[in-house]
Amino acid sequence: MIMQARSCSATEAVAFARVAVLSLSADCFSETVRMARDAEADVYGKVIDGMPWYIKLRADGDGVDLLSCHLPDRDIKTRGGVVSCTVRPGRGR
Amino acid sequence: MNKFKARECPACQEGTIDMRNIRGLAVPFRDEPAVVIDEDLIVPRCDNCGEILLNEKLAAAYDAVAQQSYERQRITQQKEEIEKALSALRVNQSELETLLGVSQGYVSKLMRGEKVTSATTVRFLHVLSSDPPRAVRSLAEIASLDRELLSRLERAQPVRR
Repeated sequence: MIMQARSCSATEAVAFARVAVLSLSADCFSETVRMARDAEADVYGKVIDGMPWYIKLRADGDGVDLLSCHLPDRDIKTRGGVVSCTVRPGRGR
Repeated sequence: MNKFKARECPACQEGTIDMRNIRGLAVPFRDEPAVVIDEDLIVPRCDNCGEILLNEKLAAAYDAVAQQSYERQRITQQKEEIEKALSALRVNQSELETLLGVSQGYVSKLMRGEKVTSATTVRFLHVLSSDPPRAVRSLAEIASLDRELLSRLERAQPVRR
């Protein structure tokens, strides 16, 4: 998904995912969702380089798993405001 | 030895992620939305949603194979589109270089596969040969073209695909 959205290589996509996750703050938090077998994951929304991103993380004993990182198909309501799914490069947040 | 342990797909939560060979799969890579992987490439992939999980090490291996596939496909594609454009426009390589706005000798290098051009150039070549008069008229609005060349191009016929 990242490679498609950013027209980049896999190495660049992995590096982007790392930077995206490390850049998240409490203001980016949207909601906690319940997954299969009662596992929980946190959903975040953030505009990075002018593009909106839907990011889902799950913390377990070994660290944090990045479950999703893609362009959102709907607006994401976060603590810091709404991340619009229609935001595209050059238009800002 | 395969140290990867098959597990539930974190993306769809329905399929299983396991090491799978994606040879033959079309994947987005750089400026190309569908590069067909034409070598063996074994990566963790979901059997349900197709999600591929990569870390730094796997991503480097993925890129090495995808880059080769990308270049092979692009070289084939650029040769085909150049041949169609030369035929449809009835121009020589030098004149085509003028139309593309590239340096002299560039088309020749593309034909020999010495250079790999961008998706933009391939698409422009495709448009040029699909409807030469219209494409050239549009081009003449922003590029200064030789009057004789322009007149000749106005009479060019599209390539049948």
